[in-house]
Amino acid sequence: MANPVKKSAKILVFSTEKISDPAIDMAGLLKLHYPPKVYTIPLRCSSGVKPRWILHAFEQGFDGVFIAADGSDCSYGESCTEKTGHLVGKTHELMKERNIEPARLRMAALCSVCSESFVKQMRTFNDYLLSISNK
Amino acid sequence: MQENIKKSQYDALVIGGGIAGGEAALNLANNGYKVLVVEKDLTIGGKMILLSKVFPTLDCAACITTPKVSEISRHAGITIFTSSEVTAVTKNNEGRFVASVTKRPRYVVTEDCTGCQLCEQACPVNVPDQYQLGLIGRKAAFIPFNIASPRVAAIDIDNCTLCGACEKACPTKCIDFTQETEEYSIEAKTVIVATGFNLFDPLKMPRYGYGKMKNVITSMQMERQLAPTRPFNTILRPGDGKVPDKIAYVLCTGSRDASVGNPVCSQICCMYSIKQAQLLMGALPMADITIYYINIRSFGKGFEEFYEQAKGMGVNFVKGKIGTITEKENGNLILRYEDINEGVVKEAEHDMAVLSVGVLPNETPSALFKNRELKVDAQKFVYQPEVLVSPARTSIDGVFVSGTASGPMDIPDSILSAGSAAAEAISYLNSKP
Repeated sequence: MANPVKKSAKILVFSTEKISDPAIDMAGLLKLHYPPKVYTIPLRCSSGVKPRWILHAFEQGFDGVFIAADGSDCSYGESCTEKTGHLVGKTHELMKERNIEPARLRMAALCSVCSESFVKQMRTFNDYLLSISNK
Repeated sequence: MQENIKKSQYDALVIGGGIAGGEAALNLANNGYKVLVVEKDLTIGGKMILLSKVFPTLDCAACITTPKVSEISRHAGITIFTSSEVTAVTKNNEGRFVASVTKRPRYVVTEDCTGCQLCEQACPVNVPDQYQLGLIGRKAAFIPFNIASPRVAAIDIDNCTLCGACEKACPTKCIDFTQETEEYSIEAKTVIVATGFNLFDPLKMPRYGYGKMKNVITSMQMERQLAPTRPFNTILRPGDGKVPDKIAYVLCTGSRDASVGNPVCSQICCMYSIKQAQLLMGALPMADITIYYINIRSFGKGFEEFYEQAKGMGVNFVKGKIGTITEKENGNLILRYEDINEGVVKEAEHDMAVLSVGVLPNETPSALFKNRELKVDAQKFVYQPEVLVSPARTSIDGVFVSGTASGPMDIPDSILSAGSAAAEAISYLNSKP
């Protein structure tokens, strides 16, 4: 493989507009350092993410996809975490079929002021993605 | 003018969109009633959404309030008017309430704003940011704060120079300077008063030097410095930006003090000061924190343990009320007080003083009701004629009180009170055909 060594993984983040997105926004406002190739798409609720979107992201060259969910705080329904967990499981299956490492898709709950926690998640995810892509 | 008044009907009108109003509205709406919440500010969430953590559990205030506020905002049964005020309420012959509501223009089309903040970047005007209690500035075209609801820009028309920079920068062309004040006539079967409280203004106590001495701040300003969405991302004293290492808390600023006309205890200052002291210990491990008190009133569940925990962490408690504060040339402060345990007058030097300001009534609701009297108590909080058996009832049949509009209380009590007001309002609605 003559691939150049990557310094930063390309990560797509699905955030929720009322809860996790303000935290991600604030991470920037507070000038916290996280990998430069993190791209965020805010949605209403994490359970609205479609497995084909995630697969599309991998096809388009993203190294990892991260779903920043609301935990138990979603105002769109009680079952949001369960549904999101379910779609992540389903996507993992589809990823295995396509020989994509399931660990390239992660999900975690972020509160509206969890900027530090978001940065930590991004850094560890970035390190992991680099470790598998630079093997 | 008359023909411009928009009319609409709701089951319940909730005056105030803080946590007490929001929680009451949510309870009503979850039971199938149509609710209108009228909030005078640009965003709902009241004072709680601006806090850092809550006592005695140290849970994050924003993490609790944001989901709650977003649930209120998107509930199909709740309509919210922000930047709006109820100006008059009358009870008609059918026992219905008719309220006049004035909706001030935001100069932004709420539905089209994406919250991108490009107007903020373009705006050349800098004014103190009221949502950071004046610690930093903001623009005249601005989003109130990151977790505001709605998270939509607004134009501060009093400070705007009408330069048009925001209009040019706005990608969705949602800034509209032609918006005008709208008048509504709202008919509702029941009214919930959730107008909250005002913090004591320490300018009324010149001996504490607030407003003159830069390193004397209020507890709400310290609360902002400790919050996750804080202005400086660390604790600084405003005078010279130095990280303080000897901080004093002046308890009972404007409470239990007949000389400023507020002889009662505000019920929250002891605990929020102890909470802030604990958070400061975490933020500035080397700092000395002294709390000057008359009595520590740790009456609630888990409060005494919380107080003991603060003592164990090394917060210094001194029994003595501060008489005066004077400023040295380097910005440090000399606090003069009577050490009650020793019976002598002493002086101590600190580099920052936090005035733990008390709770004053919001006196607007009593003036709103035109043909019935909304009685107030001796302190001018909403009077509860049956405080023991029916605490949400007021002197007007069909009007209920929620939260700190009826007196000082902490967050759990406000939530309880909101539940009580909603339950009383529902039973009132059920009793009316």
